[in-house]
Amino acid sequence: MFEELIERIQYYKKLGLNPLALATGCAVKVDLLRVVYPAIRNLKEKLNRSRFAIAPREDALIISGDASEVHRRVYHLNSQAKIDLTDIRTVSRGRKLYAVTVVQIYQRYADTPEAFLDKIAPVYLKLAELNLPIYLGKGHSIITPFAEDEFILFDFLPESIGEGFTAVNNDTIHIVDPTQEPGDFRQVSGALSNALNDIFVLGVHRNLRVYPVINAPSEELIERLWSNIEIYSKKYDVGFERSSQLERGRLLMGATTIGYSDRAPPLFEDRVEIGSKLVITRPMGELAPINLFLSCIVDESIVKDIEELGIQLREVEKAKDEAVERISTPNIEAAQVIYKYLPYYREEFKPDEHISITTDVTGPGVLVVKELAERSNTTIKLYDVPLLFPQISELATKLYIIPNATSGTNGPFIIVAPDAIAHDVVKDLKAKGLNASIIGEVIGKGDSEVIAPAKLKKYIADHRILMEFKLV
Amino acid sequence: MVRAVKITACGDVKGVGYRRFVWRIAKALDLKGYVENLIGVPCVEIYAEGDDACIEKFKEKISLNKIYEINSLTIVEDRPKNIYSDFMIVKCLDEVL
Repeated sequence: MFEELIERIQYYKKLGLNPLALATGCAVKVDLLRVVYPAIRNLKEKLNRSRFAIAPREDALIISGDASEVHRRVYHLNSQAKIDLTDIRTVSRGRKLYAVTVVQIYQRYADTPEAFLDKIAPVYLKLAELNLPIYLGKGHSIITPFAEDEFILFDFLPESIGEGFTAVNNDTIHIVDPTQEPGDFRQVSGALSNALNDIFVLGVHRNLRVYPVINAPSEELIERLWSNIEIYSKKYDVGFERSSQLERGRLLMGATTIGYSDRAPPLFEDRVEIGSKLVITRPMGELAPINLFLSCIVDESIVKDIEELGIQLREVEKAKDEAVERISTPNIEAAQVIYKYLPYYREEFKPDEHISITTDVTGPGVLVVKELAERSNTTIKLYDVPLLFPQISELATKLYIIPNATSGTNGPFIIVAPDAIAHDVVKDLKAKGLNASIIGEVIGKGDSEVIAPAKLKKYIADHRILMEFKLV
Repeated sequence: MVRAVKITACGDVKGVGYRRFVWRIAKALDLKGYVENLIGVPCVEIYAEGDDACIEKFKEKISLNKIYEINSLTIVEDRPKNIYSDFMIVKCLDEVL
């Protein structure tokens, strides 16, 4: 088995990526803190007198009304970059433009804000020459080890009218499961579901569309990926558009995702009440078995270690497959339940009837609860941290395979709901086949703190993360 | 006896899980310190302090790695700083694992 898997890993290396990077969080993202944010601060100053605005960082762009038009443009990031301003004027036809962007930049230019800015600024400054109101709502910056693979992709959405809101997100990944072929359906399914998750968490589940960002080194593989997108579209009733794409290059899968809601997004941070409950839509921790299995492949001594601790490799592999299946399944049912408990767009928020805030459990794992406490300035007491594979998460922590074994990708949602409806929310989620439960409650306001069960130490090896909790 | 080393590893070490690999070895040996990507060069910097025998094992395990392509590995003795309570991966903002 090892030989076959290692051969596949070598194959992925030929496709331009290292599957070992799967286990490293934002290894393929440009460093936000040191590079992207300082560069964007500087770029904002350069754009200060223009009508091109860049939004503060948000998980998704929210636009009033039902934005139905998407116009994709892909530009090179080099001196030959040609931007046809007449073309963008035609897209706008006098309307304000919203935009989301994906930048793929050569590693050499991703190390410093200055180098990053030198690459992206000419494109933004050129667009600013239009003197049109353009609002960049979400950006996603990734690194490529190949200079010729650089690009900047914009999806422009002209402003729209009407009630409700449109949520827009974009995200990309290289691969979901490096032990499987890139043409495996779960790879595309995971990439698209992951890109949809940031809009599902807002209760958005209608008029869903994906505008894939797809690349591969061969026409055959590109066609296979498109074929899988079509299957995904039919399976989950998500529209897709084969909008303009990148030139042929290294493997990349993702999408700009769009959906509409006639209810308000759950962004009522100031309405979180003492006594509100935290509902999780299903247990968390997809990444522990994937990381443990990959570690076993690249370092056979770990197989011996896990066997000594009472777990066989085939059990880890089974858990890994189950985790990949979860990652590859869109959280649409959970979005439908969130939607049910939100006020209509012009309706008043009712503290006893409506969900106040939500979040998705991604890379930070259970640490997202601390973010919820900070957003709402509340003290939260966690009763439990339900995990998909508690034994494997514990083992992955004990063997220092993963610093935070509660981490996930395309993970469950945590919903803050008033006590009066919390049990109904759980019941509705269970009716849709989800293993939902109440995991905690808001016990105070004015300070952001999370009190968590001491057993968290079994699942988190990183002391800095543990220090974010008061363990009891 | 407590001792410390500073190691610079260069090669295919960025964005491939190498810091995680170093972290795992250091944690298993109960060493304190950090591993961090260096800006502008394809290298990581490692600072590790702990028991003499554990430092030796750490150096050996890092050097004998067969997983990552390391072009150069510079190891220098350092003075123990005694300011670290854990071994950390110095991460970027979105890097949470």
